[in-house]
Amino acid sequence: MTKGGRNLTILGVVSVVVTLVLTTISLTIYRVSGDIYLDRSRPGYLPDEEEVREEENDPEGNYDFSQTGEITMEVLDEYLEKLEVEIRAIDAYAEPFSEEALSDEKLGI
Amino acid sequence: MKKRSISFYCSILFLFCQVFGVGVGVFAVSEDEMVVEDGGVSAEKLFSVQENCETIREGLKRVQREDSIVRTHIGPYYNTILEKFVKPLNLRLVENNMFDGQLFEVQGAFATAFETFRNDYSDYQRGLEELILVDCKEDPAGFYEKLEDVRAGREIVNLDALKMRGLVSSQKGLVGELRSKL
Repeated sequence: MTKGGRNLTILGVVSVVVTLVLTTISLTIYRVSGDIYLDRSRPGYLPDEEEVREEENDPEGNYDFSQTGEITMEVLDEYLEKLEVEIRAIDAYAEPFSEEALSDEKLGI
Repeated sequence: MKKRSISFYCSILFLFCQVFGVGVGVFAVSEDEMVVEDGGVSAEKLFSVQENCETIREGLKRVQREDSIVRTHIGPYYNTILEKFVKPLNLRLVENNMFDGQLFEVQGAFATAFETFRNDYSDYQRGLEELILVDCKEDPAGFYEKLEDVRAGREIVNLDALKMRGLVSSQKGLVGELRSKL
């Protein structure tokens, strides 16, 4: 093998090793930090088609209360009206993390 | 000599059977008592965990997925309320020389509560994933102990969510009061 060929081989091996090390570090950080549990793009956790359609059709999702401008009754009325929409969406899950889901009865113990 | 050897070995064999029979009698237990009670958890529950191990594991995976759906549903709404309602309103009030201490307190409490919810949810999900990996057939007591820990973690997440909901109500109430003063 020529000197150039040998150097190329070494470069290839070192590149692969460095890639493996950095990927391992990234995945470790991903898991340890808890981001893995917030990531819904994981296999088996992708949103259903209906959920995606619902998000695309949500007109209220684009509301943005301006940081500048007057404070009037009309402005606050609109603010409260838009806030109520968000509250209704949250209240769709009355008890989001109730104890029932992990009860002995529910799990079949 | 041969006769004595035979009777000698028969005696040994007889004694061995006696000892073995006693040992079987000591360790033979009914089905219900197969798993010894451990750490206050009843033997029936531990037996049930062993018998229904796969069903329980599937149930936990379903809870894991449902929790993910709930979090990705309510999380963005709370984030929207903080970033697009609470914070901008306070900035606008300051611009209009209408600083409201209570609304600023709600902003601070809400930001803290949201971060706490995020961290507690990660801890809870980590515990749930570890629980699913426990071999409930081999170690039902350990499994149930871990299940109790996960339940406690879920309760904490539930309280965090309720706290944020309460702060949203406070925000709504304070803004209503502000409106009535105009």
